Formats: sequence, C-alpha cells, structure tokens
Amino acid sequence: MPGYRLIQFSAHPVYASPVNVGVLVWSGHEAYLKMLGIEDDASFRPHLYLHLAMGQQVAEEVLQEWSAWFQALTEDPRRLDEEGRRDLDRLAESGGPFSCANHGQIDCEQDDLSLVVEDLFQKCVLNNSTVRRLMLQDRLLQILEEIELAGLADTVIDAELELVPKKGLGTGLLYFPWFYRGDKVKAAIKLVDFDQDAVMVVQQVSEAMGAFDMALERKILTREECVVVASGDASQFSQYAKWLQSRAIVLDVADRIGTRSFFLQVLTKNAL
Amino acid sequence: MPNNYFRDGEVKVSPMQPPTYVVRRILRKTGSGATVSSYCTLDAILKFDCEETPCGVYNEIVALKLGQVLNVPVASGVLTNTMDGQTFASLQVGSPGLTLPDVLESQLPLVASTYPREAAALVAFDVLIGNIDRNNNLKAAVSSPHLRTFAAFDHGVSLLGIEDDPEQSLARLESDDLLLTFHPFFGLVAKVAVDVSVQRIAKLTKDQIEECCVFGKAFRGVSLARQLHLASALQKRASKLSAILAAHENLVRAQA
Repeated sequence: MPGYRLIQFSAHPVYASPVNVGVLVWSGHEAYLKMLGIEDDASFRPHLYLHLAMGQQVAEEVLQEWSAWFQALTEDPRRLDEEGRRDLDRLAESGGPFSCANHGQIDCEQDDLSLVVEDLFQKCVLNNSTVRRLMLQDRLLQILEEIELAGLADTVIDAELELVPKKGLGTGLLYFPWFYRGDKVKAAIKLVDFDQDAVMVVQQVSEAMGAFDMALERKILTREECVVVASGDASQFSQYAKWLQSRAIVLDVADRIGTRSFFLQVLTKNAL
Repeated sequence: MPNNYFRDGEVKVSPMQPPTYVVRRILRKTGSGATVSSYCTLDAILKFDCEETPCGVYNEIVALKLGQVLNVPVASGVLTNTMDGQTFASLQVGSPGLTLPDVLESQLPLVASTYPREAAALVAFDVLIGNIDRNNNLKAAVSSPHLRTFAAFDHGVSLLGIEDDPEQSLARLESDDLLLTFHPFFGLVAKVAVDVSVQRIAKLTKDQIEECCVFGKAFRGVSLARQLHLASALQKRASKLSAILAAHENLVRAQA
C-alpha cells in the first residue's frame, strides 16, 4: 500500500508552530513530491519560507539545500520503504527546520498516486490561509519577475499600500512607488483570495476598497493605478467583485498573460 | 568550485572555508571594547556516554582534535558539563536559523565530485580512527553555488568504541585491519587524493598525537594509561595506513 508523509516547516524548534508545506507519496518504484516552493521544473523559490519564518532570519541557500534533499529522496523510491523512512524519522530529532510528523498509508491504486499527492497537498497544505496568501503573493512575484521587475520583489511583498509620509501632501497618504531602471512607476496592489472563507474574503475586500477609496478621493492614485490581484473563484462573491471593479483594475493571477501585459503597460506608460 | 590562489609562483588549491554553525539567539552586547561582540546561543547536539558508547565523549573530543590537526572537515564541538558530568556538544552546521540536512545516500556521488579532497580526507581519517559509523553523518551543500560546506560529525563509535571492550578496540587499531567494511565514499574517491591525506597522516608526530589523545589525567571512564595506549596505537596505525589502504585498494578507491 502506498505510503505518505506530510512535510512540515518550523523556523524555530521552540517558538514556531510547524506549518504543513509538502506531501510525499511513494509506492514501489514511484515517488511523488509536492512541496511549497518547488516548481514543476524542479527549481526552488525560497521566498515563501522566508515569510513562514515570521521574522526569524533564515538563509535561502540552506532552504535550497533542503529542497534538493527532498528531491533526492524521491529519486530512489524503493529506498523510501526502509532507509528513506529512517531519514525522514530523523528529521524530527535534527531540530528542524523540516520534519515529517504525520505519516501513514493510503488505500489507492498505483495509477492514482499523482492525483493523490495533489489532493493531499490541497487539503493539508493549501487549506492554510497564510500559505494560500503567500502562494498568491508568490505567483504575482513570478509574473513581475517575468517582466524583469524582479528587483521589486521585496517591495511587492509589502504591497498592501504602504502608508508613507510624503512631504507636501501631508502624512498618512497612500503612496506606493516602484522604481525600475530609473523609471518611476506608481501603482497600488491589493491581494484578494476568493477561495478563503467568507469572513476572510470580506475582510480583504473591505481593506482594498477602503484603501482605494481614500487614494481616489485624495487624487493620489487614479483608478488605473489601483490594482487588485485576485485568485480563486470569484463567482460566489460576485457583488464584492463588482465593487472592486468599480474602484480598481482587477486581475486574475491565473491569467498570467493578462496580468503580465497589464504590468507591462503600466511600466511602458511610466517610462521616461 | 574552490577558489584557487597563487603562492610562490604556484597555483594552490584553496582550502575550504570553515563551516558556519547555527546561531539560535543573539543576546545583549558584551559591553564596551575595541571589538563589537555580543552574547549568543548556538544550536548543538549533546553527546553522552552510554552503555553502547561508554567512551563516546572521549572519542568525540579526540576525533575532533585529530581532525583539526589533520585539516579534515569535521564539524566543531565543545566539551560542556551537565548533571551527568562532561558531555560533548556537537555544533549544528548551517546558516542563520537553519541546519543543513544530512547527506542522503543518493547524493553521495554528487558530494564526492563536488568535494573530492574533503571526501578523500574523510576516508583516510575514518580508516585511521576506525570510524565504523560514518553512514550519513555528514552535512554537505550540493545545490547552492554560493554555499560551500562539507562537515562530518558523530565520531562516538570510533577509537575506543570500535568494539564493546575498549581493550579490544585498541587491539584492532593496532592490527592491520581496515576496520571498516563500509564507508559512504568507498569507491567514490580518487587514489591521488586519498594518498595526499594518507601522507599527511603519516607525518603526524608522536607529540601531536599525544596532544590529541592524552589529557594528563583520567577523563570520565578513560584512564590515563588507556589514553597513552590509544596514542601509541594511533601512531602505529598512522605509519602503516598507506599499506592498509593499499591492501584494500579495490574497495576504497574509485576505479580509474
């Protein structure tokens, strides 16, 4: 029967709670790993873990090594039944940052392993609202990186419309500047995940609308400079989606081409 | 790739950067002074003497000292005191806040090709001290170009811990046995690289070995006489290490 492990991340062995970040499923000569930050091409994006560390300083290179370690583990599936299992058991004793606390066997067919790992990942990892939000941020970052705005990555993480005092315009004004090769691009981004529970969605929408209302009223931003990057199914919240559209450009992060072309336009418009 | 450098008109292979260890907390500054310094806590794993390794703490500290003298990439550690007396605190290799994973068996060829000198030095060192428990007790960075780390740890089952009885362990160290039936880098290291390490070991003086093994009085359960006996056994083994390895060349070294 196929075995599985939940991979957990904890930036501190005492203070931090472990967060489910991945799933490993194996049987016979097959093993499937689905883990936050590991892309389909096996490349690794450590940003998500830096945020899960919640203020703890963590080294990207070491996270990179852990990513390679888990991937190497799956390259030899037959080993996972014995030695590999012991390697995973030892993680808990090693003081982190990764561990595999939950494990067991799954009653499924061999052909379904790839589907099972997706399903487990959805239920065990993506059900966490913090993780979902980080995923949304990271998908936006990937799009921005594609259009060579990579240097702005850190800024975008905090793109909840920073309140930055600006001389001559008073304090507490909404102002989110992007700087790119000497060009100054102004836009404000809010993230809304429609797959969260209703309370969380309402909170995100009201925050975005409040911020944009203030920015529009004070003529700090135009509607074209107010951007909502959304994920998930908005159909259950159609009224909220309409309200957002009345004040901002709403982009679906799943529409990579559309999102990318929007930001390219913003950049072009602001080019010197 | 290591950064080679010039000295006396020759290209020298750069030694490894010393590994870094995981800082858990940085505390208050130590006070005024010419240097900026703070108290901190480091992550470490405490090793105690136990039924299975009655001389484990002694073995750890001796192996560390020998490794440092020979420039073998062993992870640092320190002696400390607990309720049980002296223990060995093996420092956790890693970068800020995070430890590195132990190397997996499937990663060993990549580790050996990334760190050929270090892997060879470790083979020679483990044969010298009779470390029959290397297994995956090793940290190595293999996928981050900017992070070069290779550090071996856990030497409790070596030296006086090869057999249950320390006297038998000493007898085996004095024999011509390879002692190891398995090592993660057997078959993955080049003859030339192992020979360099073996030559370095052969040059160890009696005084150097005694400084590593003998503490002037009994250390936990290890009497002074036994410490001297170990130093003597290691000296003999160092001088015949080349012959021991040559007798097991097919097992130890990579085929050309």
